Amino acid sequence: MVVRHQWRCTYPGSSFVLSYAYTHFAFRRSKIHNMPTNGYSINSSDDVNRNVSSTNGSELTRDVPSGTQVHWNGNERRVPEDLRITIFADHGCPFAHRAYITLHELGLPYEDVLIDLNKPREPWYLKINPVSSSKTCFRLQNTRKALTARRAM
Amino acid sequence: MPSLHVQYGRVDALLTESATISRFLADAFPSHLIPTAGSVESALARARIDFFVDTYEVKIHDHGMGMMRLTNDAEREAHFDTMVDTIKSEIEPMLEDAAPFFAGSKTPTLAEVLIGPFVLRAHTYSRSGLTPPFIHERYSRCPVYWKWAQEVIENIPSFYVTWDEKEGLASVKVRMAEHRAMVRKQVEAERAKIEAVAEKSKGEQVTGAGV
Repeated sequence: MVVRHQWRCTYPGSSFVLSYAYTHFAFRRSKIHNMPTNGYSINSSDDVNRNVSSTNGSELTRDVPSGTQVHWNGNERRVPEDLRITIFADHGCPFAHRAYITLHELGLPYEDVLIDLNKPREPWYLKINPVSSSKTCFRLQNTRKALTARRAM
Repeated sequence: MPSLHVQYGRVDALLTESATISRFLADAFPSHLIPTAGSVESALARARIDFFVDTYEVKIHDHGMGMMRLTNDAEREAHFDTMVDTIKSEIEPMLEDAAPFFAGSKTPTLAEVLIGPFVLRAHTYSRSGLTPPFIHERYSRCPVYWKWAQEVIENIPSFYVTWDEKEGLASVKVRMAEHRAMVRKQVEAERAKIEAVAEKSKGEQVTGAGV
């Protein structure tokens, strides 16, 4: 079903068709890596990086290689080589879906760290984002879980 | 929930909140999603999108989530009817020039990006029977919205890169059950509180009568 959508649905008469074809070709070939080559400098203490690699729920992907030609504002541009985007989110959450769609529409490369909504937040994630659940699909429940996890730390 | 870490040149920032992230990306990399600010025309186009997203979030999404608190189908039906009326009066006038996307755009705009995930889920749930069956029928009352929603669901490929219907349904079933149980507990606690207050005042009345 996903494949059907990717290949059948283009935007007729638009100048973005080529960029979409390229982008979705890149998505189909995307690989899953275990670790990013350089860690997160926002909190680059060793334990954070170790926890990222040891967490079962996290997959680090780089869907579009940097340097890929994309269309921004109708002009052909290249994704800057030194642009690094990492998203921490859950594929099921509608709010996270907004961010993913934006990244895909813009054809930006990103690393994807999956955070399971059905489990309490891991301590390493709470270090990165302590107010992790202010706007989720099920606000109350997640806030409580996150608070429980924080208290347990 | 989502957070985004951006490193670019001297920029090293962490953003949270989905709408903030989407708007930041759309502004940093000008594209077909939203016109760049700086002229009256583009500012107006941006304002239109903002107003649409805001109206949907406040009047439709929050109202729809309120349905979780209701326990019987008659109440849910009445609740949903008011929601359809709001779509008819507040949302449909803004979608009249959609061709096929917001404000006559041939390509998706930020309005579709920010509202689409909820539209997609609402329709997936009603199609798969997770929500009461009357919901699907009621949408025939707002054909303009329905037409736009179909475009959003079927013709934006980037929606389906991360969305997996089976997984999404399975996980939402678990969370819905948990959420319902929690809401039930809250409602019971509230009721117990009210009963306790009523009993207390009753007791006071009795003692008052005794004196």
